[in-house]
Amino acid sequence: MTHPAIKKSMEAQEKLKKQSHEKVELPKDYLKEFKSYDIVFTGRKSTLLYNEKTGEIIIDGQIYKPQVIDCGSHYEIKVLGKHSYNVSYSEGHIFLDGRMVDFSFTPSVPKLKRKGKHGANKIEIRSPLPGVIVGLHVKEGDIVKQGDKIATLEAMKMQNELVTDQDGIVEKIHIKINDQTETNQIIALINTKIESN
Amino acid sequence: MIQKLLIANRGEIALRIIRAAKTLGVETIAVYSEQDRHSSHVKMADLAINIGGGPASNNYLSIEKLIDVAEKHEADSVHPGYGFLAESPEFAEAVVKAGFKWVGPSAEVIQKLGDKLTSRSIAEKVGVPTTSGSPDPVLPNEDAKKIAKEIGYPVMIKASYGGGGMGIQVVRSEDELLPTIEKTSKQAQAAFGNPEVFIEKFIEKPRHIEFQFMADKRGNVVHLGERECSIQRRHQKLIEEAPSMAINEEEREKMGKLVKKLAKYVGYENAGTAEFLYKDGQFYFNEVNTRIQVEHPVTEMITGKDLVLEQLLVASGKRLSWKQKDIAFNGHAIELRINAEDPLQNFAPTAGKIEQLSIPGGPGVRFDSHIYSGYTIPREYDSLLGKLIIWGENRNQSTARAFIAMTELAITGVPTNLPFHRVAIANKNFQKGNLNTHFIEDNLILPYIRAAYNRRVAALFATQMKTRKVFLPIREQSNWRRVALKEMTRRY
Repeated sequence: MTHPAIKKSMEAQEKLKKQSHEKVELPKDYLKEFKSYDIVFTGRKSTLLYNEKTGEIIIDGQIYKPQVIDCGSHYEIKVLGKHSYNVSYSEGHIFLDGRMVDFSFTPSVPKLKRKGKHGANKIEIRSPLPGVIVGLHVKEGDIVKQGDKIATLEAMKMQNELVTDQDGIVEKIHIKINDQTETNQIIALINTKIESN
Repeated sequence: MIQKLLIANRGEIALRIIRAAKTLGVETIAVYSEQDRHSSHVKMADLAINIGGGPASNNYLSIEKLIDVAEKHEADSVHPGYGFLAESPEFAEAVVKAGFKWVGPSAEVIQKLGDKLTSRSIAEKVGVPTTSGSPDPVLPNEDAKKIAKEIGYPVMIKASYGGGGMGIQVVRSEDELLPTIEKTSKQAQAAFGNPEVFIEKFIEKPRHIEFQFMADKRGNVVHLGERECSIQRRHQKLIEEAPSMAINEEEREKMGKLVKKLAKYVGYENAGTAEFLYKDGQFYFNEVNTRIQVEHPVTEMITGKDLVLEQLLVASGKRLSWKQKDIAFNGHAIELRINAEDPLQNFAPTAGKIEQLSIPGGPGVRFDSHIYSGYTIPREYDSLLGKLIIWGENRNQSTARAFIAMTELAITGVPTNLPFHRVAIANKNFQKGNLNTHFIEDNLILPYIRAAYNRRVAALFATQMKTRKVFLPIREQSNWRRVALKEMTRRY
């Protein structure tokens, strides 16, 4: 007999395999009500968007509307219908399903756009460590969205995906496939100005 | 019997060795680098010697310094652990030459088995099944093409002195062959100081099964059954278990006998592991690890034998404590390697300070680790933080216990691979025992971890918004510093 907790997780994994992960296109004004928050959870940093009025949360393009039920000693939270979590607070710590976790957040402060060589509207994709470019996923003139892969860098036997953290147009690509890169070498330049159009 | 043992290693294995030595009443000398000043092994040993900072080549890999410490502090034996100098014939030789007992096989045996071509030909001689391959190193020429054709594509180009999955390239067609040989050879020269490469048949998506054996100086050898270590990423093992679901009693006995024969043939002493690839009922010899392995505890759990303690006894010249008939297998054990690696960032290594640590317990639960709350993980060394080892009467019980233990184990402040283990254990193919070395890629483990992570963030965020509990973010800098920085940069 498989353990019931394992079974539950197993079913959730099977379900994910079947559903294709489609990002929903949101209406343009939809995000107006949302505020951005910086999260630190289990030592990892991420950002989410939160709508105070509706309680909706957007992470990685997926909309969540968790239901929080006060159960006295703890809170029961239902996420995406089926998944339920148990959150409790004691001694200044947060417990998720009985396990102590670190979780904190702050409203995102808009980043100071440092005027680089290319001005505020252009971002550079740089090589984080020395390696070899084994894949290029965009051409000059391509429109890219936040999180899109720009290039694959192989370093220390690992394949690292270099992604853009902003939307924009690929203005220039400075490398070819199989090129050796140095730390901080510019790989591509992305023009982010189109956002305002 | 040895009296004073130098442990030429760090981290959890140093602790493991200290514990075994203490059980025998053997005094211990630990060595540590500047970065490891606050490591647990420093506190647990009877004596701890600082052997300098800088890269590992200046301390844990410095044969000269280690021998010097052993001499100065009158050690009579050296245990190398795993990694660092554990499989260095030069170190083994230097230790013996300086008059100390070496806890491991002789330098000559390490040398022989460390060379992949020699070890394969030894395996063939004693009848251990191997993959077909080139008997000698190859160069990028027509001969290599001929050999590859004979073996049949896909083939692997392997560095003779490579290890840990480094320096291996797969070639699927003839036109890739020569450039790949050239490239691998160059890499091998850079990484291992020797450009020799050879060709071997590539086994697609095999299981990884290995046999533990133990030998004394008098030619007695026992095998302690197999471990399955199929769950790997980039050739690094993440989950190991014993016994393997894939093989039966008959195969175990047959392979165990062959492994013993191999150990006797080379005059092996101390602990060793023969690694195999396994597919469709066939074993293919991979290599012999001439040291104690990270995953030795799963074997300890199902046999009830203390392998590290036995290593010390055997190195002292004692007769092996067990005969083959004393080795019986009870239940099932699984080991989860807890690494400072983030599965959400494709297992990139992480570093930082462990804020809180709570350790699971209960029947059959063992946590071998050197970390504590407040411990800062140095960037310089491998990312292993500890090993959660779980025993159960059968696989269902051990995996259930492992799953529960994973919900109890909490390490905060630094991203770890804990989410990976929870997801992997609850995977359908894992539960069924359908494993191979491509388990992680084939089962969409990483996308699921991401989805589960995001759901938890949503749950925690929603709760805090509702309850209005205020938790200040972890401060990285004091306010004094922050204000000073603002003053300096004039950015308010």
